[in-house]
Amino acid sequence: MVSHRKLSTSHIIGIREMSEEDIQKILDYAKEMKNNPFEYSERLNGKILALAFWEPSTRTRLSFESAMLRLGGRTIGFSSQAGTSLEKGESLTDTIIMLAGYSDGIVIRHPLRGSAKLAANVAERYGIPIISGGSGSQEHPTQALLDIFTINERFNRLSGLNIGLIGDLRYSRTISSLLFALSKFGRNRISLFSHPSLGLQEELHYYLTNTNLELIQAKNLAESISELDVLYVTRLQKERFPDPMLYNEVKGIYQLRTALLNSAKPELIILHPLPRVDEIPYEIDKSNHALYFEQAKNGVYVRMSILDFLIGS
Amino acid sequence: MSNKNSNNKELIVAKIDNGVVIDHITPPGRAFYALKVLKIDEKYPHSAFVALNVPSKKLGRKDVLKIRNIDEKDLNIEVLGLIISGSNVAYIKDYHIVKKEKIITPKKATGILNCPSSTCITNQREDVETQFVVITSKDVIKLRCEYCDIIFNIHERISLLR
Repeated sequence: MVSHRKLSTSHIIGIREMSEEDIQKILDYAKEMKNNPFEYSERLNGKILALAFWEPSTRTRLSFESAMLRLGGRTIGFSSQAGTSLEKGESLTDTIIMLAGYSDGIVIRHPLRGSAKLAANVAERYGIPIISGGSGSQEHPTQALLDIFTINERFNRLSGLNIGLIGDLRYSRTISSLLFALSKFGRNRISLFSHPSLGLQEELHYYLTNTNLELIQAKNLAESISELDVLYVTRLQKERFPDPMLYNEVKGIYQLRTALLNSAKPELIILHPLPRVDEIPYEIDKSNHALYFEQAKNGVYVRMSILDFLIGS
Repeated sequence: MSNKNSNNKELIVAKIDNGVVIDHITPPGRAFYALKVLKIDEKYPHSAFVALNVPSKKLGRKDVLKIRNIDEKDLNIEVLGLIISGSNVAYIKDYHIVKKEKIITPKKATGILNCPSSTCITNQREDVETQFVVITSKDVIKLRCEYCDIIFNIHERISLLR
Protein backbone atom coordinates (compact mmCIF):
# COMPACT_ATOMS: atom_id res chain seq x y z
CA MET A 1 0.00 0.00 0.00
CA VAL A 2 1.33 3.39 -1.01
CA SER A 3 1.71 5.60 2.04
CA HIS A 4 -1.13 8.02 2.50
CA ARG A 5 0.65 11.33 2.49
CA LYS A 6 -0.93 14.73 2.76
CA LEU A 7 -1.71 17.01 -0.16
CA SER A 8 -0.15 20.46 -0.26
CA THR A 9 -3.64 21.98 -0.52
CA SER A 10 -6.59 21.89 1.90
CA HIS A 11 -9.20 22.43 -0.83
CA ILE A 12 -9.84 21.32 -4.41
CA ILE A 13 -11.05 24.48 -6.16
CA GLY A 14 -9.63 24.07 -9.64
CA ILE A 15 -7.01 22.08 -11.50
CA ARG A 16 -5.20 25.19 -12.71
CA GLU A 17 -3.93 25.89 -9.22
CA MET A 18 -3.10 22.29 -8.33
CA SER A 19 0.41 20.90 -8.39
CA GLU A 20 1.33 17.95 -10.54
CA GLU A 21 2.50 16.19 -7.40
CA ASP A 22 -0.87 16.51 -5.66
CA ILE A 23 -2.66 15.30 -8.78
CA GLN A 24 -0.35 12.29 -8.99
CA LYS A 25 -0.95 11.44 -5.32
CA ILE A 26 -4.72 11.51 -5.85
CA LEU A 27 -4.45 9.25 -8.93
CA ASP A 28 -2.09 6.78 -7.21
CA TYR A 29 -4.31 6.51 -4.16
CA ALA A 30 -7.44 6.16 -6.32
CA LYS A 31 -5.77 3.25 -8.11
CA GLU A 32 -5.07 1.52 -4.82
CA MET A 33 -8.66 2.07 -3.78
CA LYS A 34 -10.00 0.67 -7.03
CA ASN A 35 -7.89 -2.46 -6.58
CA ASN A 36 -8.92 -3.02 -2.96
CA PRO A 37 -12.01 -0.89 -2.23
CA PHE A 38 -13.03 -2.82 0.91
CA GLU A 39 -9.74 -2.08 2.67
CA TYR A 40 -10.84 1.53 2.98
CA SER A 41 -14.38 0.98 4.23
CA GLU A 42 -13.74 2.46 7.67
CA ARG A 43 -11.39 5.30 6.76
CA LEU A 44 -13.99 8.02 7.33
CA ASN A 45 -16.06 6.44 10.12
CA GLY A 46 -17.98 9.09 11.99
CA LYS A 47 -17.28 11.81 9.42
CA ILE A 48 -19.98 13.82 7.65
CA LEU A 49 -19.72 15.22 4.14
CA ALA A 50 -22.04 18.08 3.12
CA LEU A 51 -23.19 18.06 -0.49
CA ALA A 52 -24.20 21.62 -1.34
CA PHE A 53 -25.59 21.59 -4.87
CA TRP A 54 -27.12 24.79 -6.17
CA GLU A 55 -27.35 23.17 -9.60
CA PRO A 56 -28.70 19.81 -10.72
CA SER A 57 -26.29 16.90 -10.80
CA THR A 58 -26.52 13.16 -11.09
CA ARG A 59 -23.04 11.67 -11.38
CA THR A 60 -21.06 14.19 -9.37
CA ARG A 61 -23.44 14.23 -6.43
CA LEU A 62 -24.16 10.49 -6.37
CA SER A 63 -20.54 9.47 -6.88
CA PHE A 64 -19.42 11.74 -4.03
CA GLU A 65 -22.17 10.21 -1.91
CA SER A 66 -21.14 6.70 -2.93
CA ALA A 67 -17.48 7.51 -2.25
CA MET A 68 -18.28 8.83 1.22
CA LEU A 69 -20.44 5.80 2.06
CA ARG A 70 -17.76 3.41 0.79
CA LEU A 71 -15.28 5.09 3.14
CA GLY A 72 -17.62 4.60 6.11
CA GLY A 73 -18.79 8.21 6.32
CA ARG A 74 -22.20 9.81 5.93
CA THR A 75 -23.64 12.66 3.90
CA ILE A 76 -26.05 15.53 4.32
CA GLY A 77 -27.01 18.22 1.84
CA PHE A 78 -29.31 19.69 -0.72
CA SER A 79 -29.53 19.20 -4.45
CA SER A 80 -31.47 22.28 -5.50
CA GLN A 81 -32.50 25.60 -4.09
CA ALA A 82 -36.08 24.45 -3.63
CA GLY A 83 -37.16 23.96 -0.05
CA THR A 84 -34.03 25.56 1.46
CA SER A 85 -33.08 29.02 2.74
CA LEU A 86 -31.41 29.58 -0.62
CA GLU A 87 -34.89 30.25 -1.97
CA LYS A 88 -35.16 33.03 0.58
CA GLY A 89 -31.98 34.58 -0.76
CA GLU A 90 -29.41 33.24 1.69
CA SER A 91 -25.89 33.99 0.48
CA LEU A 92 -23.24 31.45 -0.42
CA THR A 93 -21.07 32.83 2.38
CA ASP A 94 -23.74 32.26 5.05
CA THR A 95 -24.59 28.81 3.71
CA ILE A 96 -20.94 27.74 3.87
CA ILE A 97 -20.50 29.06 7.42
CA MET A 98 -23.55 27.06 8.46
CA LEU A 99 -22.43 23.87 6.71
CA ALA A 100 -18.93 24.23 8.18
CA GLY A 101 -20.58 23.79 11.56
CA TYR A 102 -22.51 20.72 10.44
CA SER A 103 -19.88 18.74 8.57
CA ASP A 104 -16.23 17.73 8.14
CA GLY A 105 -16.03 18.68 4.45
CA ILE A 106 -18.19 20.37 1.84
CA VAL A 107 -18.67 19.60 -1.84
CA ILE A 108 -20.09 22.61 -3.65
CA ARG A 109 -21.66 22.95 -7.07
CA HIS A 110 -22.71 26.48 -7.92
CA PRO A 111 -23.71 28.24 -11.18
CA LEU A 112 -21.29 31.14 -10.72
CA ARG A 113 -17.59 31.31 -11.47
CA GLY A 114 -15.44 31.94 -8.42
CA SER A 115 -17.97 30.29 -6.10
CA ALA A 116 -15.63 27.48 -5.02
CA LYS A 117 -12.84 29.92 -4.26
CA LEU A 118 -15.13 32.11 -2.17
CA ALA A 119 -16.43 29.03 -0.36
CA ALA A 120 -12.85 27.93 0.35
CA ASN A 121 -11.93 31.36 1.71
CA VAL A 122 -14.91 31.19 4.07
CA ALA A 123 -14.49 27.53 5.11
CA GLU A 124 -10.75 28.02 5.68
CA ARG A 125 -11.62 30.05 8.78
CA TYR A 126 -13.31 26.96 10.24
CA GLY A 127 -10.69 24.45 9.08
CA ILE A 128 -13.19 22.72 6.77
CA PRO A 129 -12.13 21.58 3.27
CA ILE A 130 -14.05 22.64 0.18
CA ILE A 131 -14.20 20.45 -2.92
CA SER A 132 -15.60 21.97 -6.09
CA GLY A 133 -18.21 19.92 -7.90
CA GLY A 134 -18.32 22.56 -10.66
CA SER A 135 -18.25 26.37 -10.53
CA GLY A 136 -20.23 27.84 -13.42
CA SER A 137 -18.40 27.50 -16.73
CA GLN A 138 -15.05 27.82 -14.94
CA GLU A 139 -13.83 24.43 -13.72
CA HIS A 140 -14.94 20.97 -12.71
CA PRO A 141 -11.75 19.67 -11.14
CA THR A 142 -12.85 16.26 -9.87
CA GLN A 143 -14.25 15.42 -13.32
CA ALA A 144 -10.84 16.16 -14.86
CA LEU A 145 -9.14 14.00 -12.25
CA LEU A 146 -11.35 11.03 -13.07
CA ASP A 147 -10.85 11.73 -16.79
CA ILE A 148 -7.07 11.59 -16.56
CA PHE A 149 -7.29 8.64 -14.17
CA THR A 150 -9.19 6.78 -16.91
CA ILE A 151 -6.71 7.85 -19.61
CA ASN A 152 -3.76 6.84 -17.46
CA GLU A 153 -5.37 3.53 -16.60
CA ARG A 154 -5.60 2.68 -20.29
CA PHE A 155 -2.35 4.16 -21.63
CA ASN A 156 -0.21 4.10 -18.48
CA ARG A 157 0.95 7.61 -19.29
CA LEU A 158 -0.40 11.14 -19.47
CA SER A 159 1.98 12.54 -22.06
CA GLY A 160 2.70 11.98 -25.72
CA LEU A 161 -1.00 11.54 -26.42
CA ASN A 162 -3.14 12.79 -29.31
CA ILE A 163 -6.41 13.90 -27.83
CA GLY A 164 -9.44 15.19 -29.72
CA LEU A 165 -12.03 17.37 -27.97
CA ILE A 166 -15.37 17.70 -29.69
CA GLY A 167 -18.59 19.57 -28.99
CA ASP A 168 -19.12 22.61 -26.79
CA LEU A 169 -15.62 23.66 -25.77
CA ARG A 170 -16.61 27.17 -24.66
CA TYR A 171 -19.07 26.62 -21.86
CA SER A 172 -17.84 23.23 -20.76
CA ARG A 173 -16.12 23.48 -17.38
CA THR A 174 -15.03 19.90 -17.90
CA ILE A 175 -12.94 20.90 -20.92
CA SER A 176 -11.21 23.72 -19.03
CA SER A 177 -10.22 21.46 -16.17
CA LEU A 178 -9.15 18.63 -18.47
CA LEU A 179 -6.85 20.94 -20.44
CA PHE A 180 -5.31 22.32 -17.26
CA ALA A 181 -4.72 18.76 -16.07
CA LEU A 182 -3.16 17.58 -19.33
CA SER A 183 -0.96 20.67 -19.48
CA LYS A 184 0.82 19.52 -16.32
CA PHE A 185 1.99 16.17 -17.66
CA GLY A 186 4.38 16.81 -20.51
CA ARG A 187 3.70 17.13 -24.19
CA ASN A 188 0.22 16.35 -25.51
CA ARG A 189 -1.37 17.25 -28.82
CA ILE A 190 -4.93 18.52 -28.54
CA SER A 191 -7.18 18.74 -31.60
CA LEU A 192 -10.22 20.95 -31.11
CA PHE A 193 -13.39 20.18 -33.04
CA SER A 194 -16.04 22.80 -32.40
CA HIS A 195 -18.41 25.26 -33.99
CA PRO A 196 -16.75 28.72 -34.20
CA SER A 197 -19.18 30.09 -31.61
CA LEU A 198 -18.28 27.29 -29.20
CA GLY A 199 -14.47 27.43 -29.34
CA LEU A 200 -12.25 27.59 -26.25
CA GLN A 201 -12.67 30.54 -23.90
CA GLU A 202 -10.09 33.26 -24.68
CA GLU A 203 -8.79 33.00 -21.13
CA LEU A 204 -7.87 29.37 -21.66
CA HIS A 205 -5.56 30.28 -24.53
CA TYR A 206 -3.83 32.73 -22.19
CA TYR A 207 -3.46 30.22 -19.38
CA LEU A 208 -2.26 27.43 -21.66
CA THR A 209 0.40 29.52 -23.40
CA ASN A 210 3.87 28.38 -22.33
CA THR A 211 2.63 24.94 -21.38
CA ASN A 212 3.50 21.76 -23.22
CA LEU A 213 0.06 21.47 -24.80
CA GLU A 214 -0.07 21.78 -28.56
CA LEU A 215 -3.52 23.14 -29.41
CA ILE A 216 -4.77 22.66 -32.96
CA GLN A 217 -8.07 23.92 -34.35
CA ALA A 218 -9.03 20.85 -36.37
CA LYS A 219 -11.52 20.94 -39.21
CA ASN A 220 -12.84 17.50 -39.75
CA LEU A 221 -13.07 14.59 -37.34
CA ALA A 222 -13.27 12.07 -40.18
CA GLU A 223 -9.85 13.19 -41.43
CA SER A 224 -8.21 13.29 -38.01
CA ILE A 225 -9.70 10.36 -36.13
CA SER A 226 -7.02 7.91 -37.27
CA GLU A 227 -4.39 9.92 -35.35
CA LEU A 228 -6.26 10.09 -32.06
CA ASP A 229 -5.58 8.12 -28.88
CA VAL A 230 -8.44 9.73 -26.98
CA LEU A 231 -11.66 11.29 -28.27
CA TYR A 232 -13.37 13.36 -25.59
CA VAL A 233 -16.97 14.18 -26.51
CA THR A 234 -19.06 16.84 -24.82
CA ARG A 235 -22.74 17.59 -25.13
CA LEU A 236 -23.84 20.50 -27.29
CA GLN A 237 -25.98 22.62 -25.00
CA LYS A 238 -28.98 23.86 -26.96
CA GLU A 239 -29.48 26.79 -24.62
CA ARG A 240 -26.00 28.17 -25.46
CA PHE A 241 -26.90 28.77 -29.08
CA PRO A 242 -28.21 32.23 -29.93
CA ASP A 243 -30.39 30.72 -32.64
CA PRO A 244 -32.18 27.33 -32.26
CA MET A 245 -31.97 26.88 -36.03
CA LEU A 246 -28.20 27.05 -35.79
CA TYR A 247 -28.24 24.36 -33.11
CA ASN A 248 -30.23 22.03 -35.35
CA GLU A 249 -27.90 22.80 -38.21
CA VAL A 250 -24.65 22.06 -36.41
CA LYS A 251 -25.61 19.27 -34.02
CA GLY A 252 -25.28 16.65 -36.75
CA ILE A 253 -21.68 17.68 -37.42
CA TYR A 254 -20.69 16.78 -33.89
CA GLN A 255 -22.46 13.44 -33.66
CA LEU A 256 -20.29 10.34 -33.71
CA ARG A 257 -21.11 7.67 -36.24
CA THR A 258 -20.08 4.04 -36.10
CA ALA A 259 -18.59 4.23 -39.59
CA LEU A 260 -16.24 6.99 -38.41
CA LEU A 261 -14.57 4.53 -36.04
CA ASN A 262 -13.50 2.23 -38.88
CA SER A 263 -10.42 4.35 -39.45
CA ALA A 264 -9.64 4.80 -35.74
CA LYS A 265 -6.68 3.15 -34.00
CA PRO A 266 -7.72 -0.03 -32.14
CA GLU A 267 -6.56 1.55 -28.88
CA LEU A 268 -8.63 4.75 -29.32
CA ILE A 269 -10.79 5.43 -26.27
CA ILE A 270 -13.95 7.53 -26.33
CA LEU A 271 -14.70 9.49 -23.18
CA HIS A 272 -17.71 11.65 -22.29
CA PRO A 273 -18.42 13.41 -18.97
CA LEU A 274 -22.10 12.44 -19.43
CA PRO A 275 -24.99 12.97 -19.65
CA ARG A 276 -25.04 12.40 -23.38
CA VAL A 277 -28.02 13.28 -25.49
CA ASP A 278 -27.52 12.20 -29.05
CA GLU A 279 -23.85 12.93 -29.69
CA ILE A 280 -22.91 9.27 -29.16
CA PRO A 281 -25.40 6.71 -30.54
CA TYR A 282 -26.12 3.66 -28.35
CA GLU A 283 -24.55 1.28 -30.88
CA ILE A 284 -21.10 2.73 -30.09
CA ASP A 285 -21.52 1.67 -26.44
CA LYS A 286 -20.76 -1.90 -27.48
CA SER A 287 -17.47 -1.03 -29.17
CA ASN A 288 -14.15 -1.49 -27.40
CA HIS A 289 -13.53 2.20 -27.85
CA ALA A 290 -16.40 3.22 -25.55
CA LEU A 291 -15.05 3.90 -22.07
CA TYR A 292 -17.46 6.52 -20.77
CA PHE A 293 -19.29 4.30 -18.29
CA GLU A 294 -16.02 2.98 -16.89
CA GLN A 295 -14.94 6.62 -16.70
CA ALA A 296 -18.07 7.46 -14.68
CA LYS A 297 -17.40 4.50 -12.36
CA ASN A 298 -13.84 5.69 -11.82
CA GLY A 299 -15.37 8.87 -10.44
CA VAL A 300 -16.15 7.00 -7.22
CA TYR A 301 -12.53 5.89 -6.64
CA VAL A 302 -11.05 9.26 -7.52
CA ARG A 303 -13.51 10.97 -5.19
CA MET A 304 -12.80 8.41 -2.44
CA SER A 305 -9.13 9.30 -2.79
CA ILE A 306 -9.83 13.04 -2.59
CA LEU A 307 -12.16 12.66 0.40
CA ASP A 308 -9.65 10.58 2.34
CA PHE A 309 -6.85 13.03 1.61
CA LEU A 310 -8.87 16.06 2.70
CA ILE A 311 -11.11 14.70 5.46
CA GLY A 312 -9.27 11.62 6.73
CA SER A 313 -6.94 11.94 9.67
CA MET B 1 5.35 75.25 -17.38
CA SER B 2 6.52 75.83 -20.89
CA ASN B 3 7.28 73.38 -23.64
CA LYS B 4 8.62 73.95 -27.11
CA ASN B 5 6.59 72.36 -29.82
CA SER B 6 7.92 71.13 -33.15
CA ASN B 7 7.52 74.61 -34.72
CA ASN B 8 9.57 76.17 -31.97
CA LYS B 9 6.58 78.22 -30.89
CA GLU B 10 6.16 78.31 -27.15
CA LEU B 11 3.19 76.60 -25.64
CA ILE B 12 2.58 78.16 -22.29
CA VAL B 13 0.34 76.71 -19.63
CA ALA B 14 0.22 78.77 -16.49
CA LYS B 15 2.00 77.55 -13.40
CA ILE B 16 -0.41 76.53 -10.73
CA ASP B 17 -0.23 77.82 -7.19
CA ASN B 18 -1.56 74.71 -5.40
CA GLY B 19 -2.48 71.26 -6.59
CA VAL B 20 -0.77 68.61 -8.66
CA VAL B 21 1.00 68.31 -11.99
CA ILE B 22 0.91 64.88 -13.55
CA ASP B 23 3.54 64.70 -16.27
CA HIS B 24 4.86 62.04 -18.65
CA ILE B 25 1.46 60.46 -19.26
CA THR B 26 1.87 58.01 -22.13
CA PRO B 27 0.62 56.90 -24.56
CA PRO B 28 -1.11 60.22 -25.42
CA GLY B 29 -4.81 60.23 -24.69
CA ARG B 30 -4.56 58.51 -21.33
CA ALA B 31 -4.98 61.88 -19.57
CA PHE B 32 -8.70 61.57 -20.29
CA TYR B 33 -8.82 58.28 -18.41
CA ALA B 34 -7.04 59.90 -15.47
CA LEU B 35 -9.55 62.75 -15.42
CA LYS B 36 -12.37 60.28 -15.35
CA VAL B 37 -10.83 58.30 -12.52
CA LEU B 38 -10.15 61.48 -10.57
CA LYS B 39 -13.74 62.61 -11.28
CA ILE B 40 -12.53 65.92 -12.72
CA ASP B 41 -15.22 67.36 -14.99
CA GLU B 42 -17.08 70.63 -15.51
CA LYS B 43 -18.44 70.39 -11.99
CA TYR B 44 -14.97 70.46 -10.45
CA PRO B 45 -14.82 73.80 -8.62
CA HIS B 46 -11.24 74.64 -9.64
CA SER B 47 -9.23 74.90 -12.84
CA ALA B 48 -7.77 71.87 -14.52
CA PHE B 49 -5.48 72.00 -17.54
CA VAL B 50 -5.09 69.17 -19.99
CA ALA B 51 -2.23 69.14 -22.48
CA LEU B 52 -2.48 66.40 -25.07
CA ASN B 53 0.14 65.12 -27.48
CA VAL B 54 2.87 67.31 -26.10
CA PRO B 55 6.21 66.66 -27.85
CA SER B 56 8.74 65.07 -25.54
CA LYS B 57 12.36 64.27 -26.36
CA LYS B 58 12.29 61.23 -24.14
CA LEU B 59 8.81 59.90 -24.80
CA GLY B 60 7.91 61.15 -28.27
CA ARG B 61 4.46 62.39 -27.29
CA LYS B 62 2.91 62.65 -23.88
CA ASP B 63 0.02 64.18 -21.98
CA VAL B 64 0.27 66.54 -19.02
CA LEU B 65 -2.38 67.32 -16.42
CA LYS B 66 -2.42 70.26 -14.03
CA ILE B 67 -5.16 70.24 -11.47
CA ARG B 68 -5.60 73.08 -9.03
CA ASN B 69 -6.42 72.50 -5.39
CA ILE B 70 -6.93 68.77 -5.60
CA ASP B 71 -6.38 67.15 -2.25
CA GLU B 72 -3.65 64.53 -1.96
CA LYS B 73 -6.14 62.14 -0.42
CA ASP B 74 -8.29 62.38 -3.56
CA LEU B 75 -5.43 61.06 -5.67
CA ASN B 76 -5.65 57.31 -5.42
CA ILE B 77 -2.17 56.38 -6.60
CA GLU B 78 -3.01 52.67 -6.67
CA VAL B 79 -5.88 53.29 -9.07
CA LEU B 80 -3.80 55.71 -11.16
CA GLY B 81 -1.17 52.96 -11.39
CA LEU B 82 -3.67 50.95 -13.41
CA ILE B 83 -4.43 53.88 -15.72
CA ILE B 84 -1.36 56.09 -16.20
CA SER B 85 1.52 53.96 -15.03
CA GLY B 86 4.96 55.48 -15.55
CA SER B 87 3.84 59.08 -15.14
CA ASN B 88 5.11 61.46 -12.46
CA VAL B 89 3.10 63.41 -9.93
CA ALA B 90 4.41 66.67 -8.51
CA TYR B 91 2.55 68.13 -5.53
CA ILE B 92 2.56 71.93 -5.64
CA LYS B 93 2.21 74.32 -2.73
CA ASP B 94 2.62 78.08 -3.20
CA TYR B 95 4.08 77.49 -6.67
CA HIS B 96 6.74 75.14 -5.29
CA ILE B 97 7.07 71.41 -5.66
CA VAL B 98 6.81 69.94 -2.18
CA LYS B 99 6.80 66.27 -3.16
CA LYS B 100 7.32 64.08 -6.22
CA GLU B 101 6.05 60.61 -6.83
CA LYS B 102 6.30 58.15 -9.70
CA ILE B 103 3.15 56.22 -10.54
CA ILE B 104 3.89 52.54 -10.86
CA THR B 105 1.72 49.61 -11.90
CA PRO B 106 0.60 47.65 -8.86
CA LYS B 107 1.00 43.86 -8.92
CA LYS B 108 -2.49 43.36 -7.55
CA ALA B 109 -5.69 45.38 -7.28
CA THR B 110 -7.85 44.63 -4.27
CA GLY B 111 -11.30 46.06 -3.67
CA ILE B 112 -10.85 49.06 -6.00
CA LEU B 113 -12.95 47.88 -8.94
CA ASN B 114 -15.77 45.50 -9.81
CA CYS B 115 -15.38 42.41 -11.93
CA PRO B 116 -16.84 42.86 -15.44
CA SER B 117 -18.25 39.33 -15.52
CA SER B 118 -21.93 39.01 -14.66
CA THR B 119 -21.28 35.36 -13.81
CA CYS B 120 -18.59 36.14 -11.21
CA ILE B 121 -19.49 35.43 -7.59
CA THR B 122 -17.99 38.80 -6.53
CA ASN B 123 -20.91 40.58 -8.23
CA GLN B 124 -23.37 38.93 -5.87
CA ARG B 125 -24.44 40.00 -2.43
CA GLU B 126 -21.59 38.18 -0.72
CA ASP B 127 -18.99 38.93 1.92
CA VAL B 128 -16.13 39.23 -0.56
CA GLU B 129 -13.59 41.78 -1.71
CA THR B 130 -12.65 41.75 -5.40
CA GLN B 131 -9.07 40.71 -6.19
CA PHE B 132 -7.26 41.10 -9.50
CA VAL B 133 -3.78 40.22 -10.67
CA VAL B 134 -2.25 42.82 -12.98
CA ILE B 135 -0.80 41.59 -16.25
CA THR B 136 1.18 44.17 -18.22
CA SER B 137 2.53 44.06 -21.71
CA LYS B 138 4.02 47.34 -23.02
CA ASP B 139 1.25 49.95 -22.69
CA VAL B 140 -1.54 47.43 -22.25
CA ILE B 141 -2.68 46.77 -18.72
CA LYS B 142 -4.89 43.77 -18.23
CA LEU B 143 -6.40 42.43 -15.06
CA ARG B 144 -7.23 38.86 -14.17
CA CYS B 145 -10.01 38.25 -11.66
CA GLU B 146 -8.71 35.96 -8.93
CA TYR B 147 -12.22 34.56 -8.50
CA CYS B 148 -13.64 33.98 -11.98
CA ASP B 149 -10.36 34.06 -14.02
CA ILE B 150 -11.70 36.51 -16.61
CA ILE B 151 -9.00 38.70 -18.19
CA PHE B 152 -9.80 42.21 -19.44
CA ASN B 153 -8.15 45.42 -20.56
CA ILE B 154 -8.65 48.06 -17.86
CA HIS B 155 -8.77 50.95 -20.35
CA GLU B 156 -11.75 49.33 -22.02
CA ARG B 157 -13.54 48.88 -18.69
CA ILE B 158 -12.72 52.10 -16.89
CA SER B 159 -16.23 52.42 -15.46
CA LEU B 160 -15.57 49.39 -13.27
CA LEU B 161 -13.30 51.45 -11.04
CA ARG B 162 -15.04 52.43 -7.83
